[in-house]
Amino acid sequence: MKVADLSQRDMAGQLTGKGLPIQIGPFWINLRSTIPDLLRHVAFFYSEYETTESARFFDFHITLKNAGGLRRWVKPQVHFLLDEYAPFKPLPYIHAFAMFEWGLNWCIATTAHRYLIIHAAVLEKAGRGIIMPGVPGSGKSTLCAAMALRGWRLLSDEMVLLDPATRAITPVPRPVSLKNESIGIIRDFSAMAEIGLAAKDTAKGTVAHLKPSATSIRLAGVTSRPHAIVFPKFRAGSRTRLTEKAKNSALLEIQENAFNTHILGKVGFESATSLINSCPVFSLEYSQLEEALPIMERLIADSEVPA
Amino acid sequence: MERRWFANAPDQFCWSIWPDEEEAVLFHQGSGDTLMLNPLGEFLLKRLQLERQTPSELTRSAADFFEIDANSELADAVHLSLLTFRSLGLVISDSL
Repeated sequence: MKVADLSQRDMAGQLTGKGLPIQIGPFWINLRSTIPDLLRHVAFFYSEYETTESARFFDFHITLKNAGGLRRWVKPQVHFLLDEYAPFKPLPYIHAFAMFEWGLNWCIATTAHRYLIIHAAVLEKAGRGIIMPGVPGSGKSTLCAAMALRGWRLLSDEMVLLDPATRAITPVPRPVSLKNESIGIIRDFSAMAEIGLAAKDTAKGTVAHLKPSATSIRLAGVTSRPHAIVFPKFRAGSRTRLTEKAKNSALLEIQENAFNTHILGKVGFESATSLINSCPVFSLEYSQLEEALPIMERLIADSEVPA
Repeated sequence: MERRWFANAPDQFCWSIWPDEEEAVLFHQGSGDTLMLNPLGEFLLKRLQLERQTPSELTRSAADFFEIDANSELADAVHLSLLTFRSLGLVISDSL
């Protein structure tokens, strides 16, 4: 049963009552909130996700609620609660949906230690996954969004969940987080882009989300294999260039981009090394999406199959 | 009399090395740090994983290994490496 199968009234009733169950990749969350913007966000972005009416265990019980007291009227704020515990300071009320997405990232990154969790986008075509690690501002999410709009299966915009034993990547497809200029770039890039409300003046500037394809959500239970690792770097005015990257510096950056290296220790390091050894690693400098995309297509067409 | 240096928890060192690349990658489980090491740094830490060494002994063995002179420039590089490793918690020294 999908969230879209619920009437608006039923969905709102669950969100404001006992909670709305949503399956996101391998995780089940139970989401509660009375905040209208968040209700609209869930209705728009999570309509294709599975829900259930059966009693079940949840990985995360998440509640977003208004701050009490004077904060209900003066500069209203929103609290994010995980199992009734508030891990963050409250944010402005109008940032509720962005806080939900960031908070859910945090929930996964701090608990899902059966995986090596790498801060990276990952997309797949023809059964071949491309991992794109990147620091904020690298153009990772913009390229990821453009690829998703050109038919690539989105596994994640934020994190690679890598099985240390098998190197399988578990998808956790979620709305793609676009920031500042990227929002307009993606809006102009494709008329198919379904972009939600923008949260302005957040810590990351203006943030809006791109809806993932129904196919990406439907295939969330299908793992993928890494075929290549690409470190993107957006640089205005630069010529698009794909160059091989040294394995040692790639490993160092993967380690720096991993959320749980300190917890997985040797297993995580060996898993990252194994990932680096299993597929070619590249740096991609780009300024134009229309130049970068064919390069990604060629990478997938490359018959070299990872070990 | 020189201090002898040795690796701090040597069983917690994990190496990744590619034959066609000069620098090695070291993950130190104790600190959770991942570092890229030049060939001298890699040599020194591997040596100190095996046995306690003074800076002079390290300088001589590095000179033999890299087939270079055990001159003051190399001794300074060894000394600087040891201080860096100590600040990262990778090596400790015994008391005089």
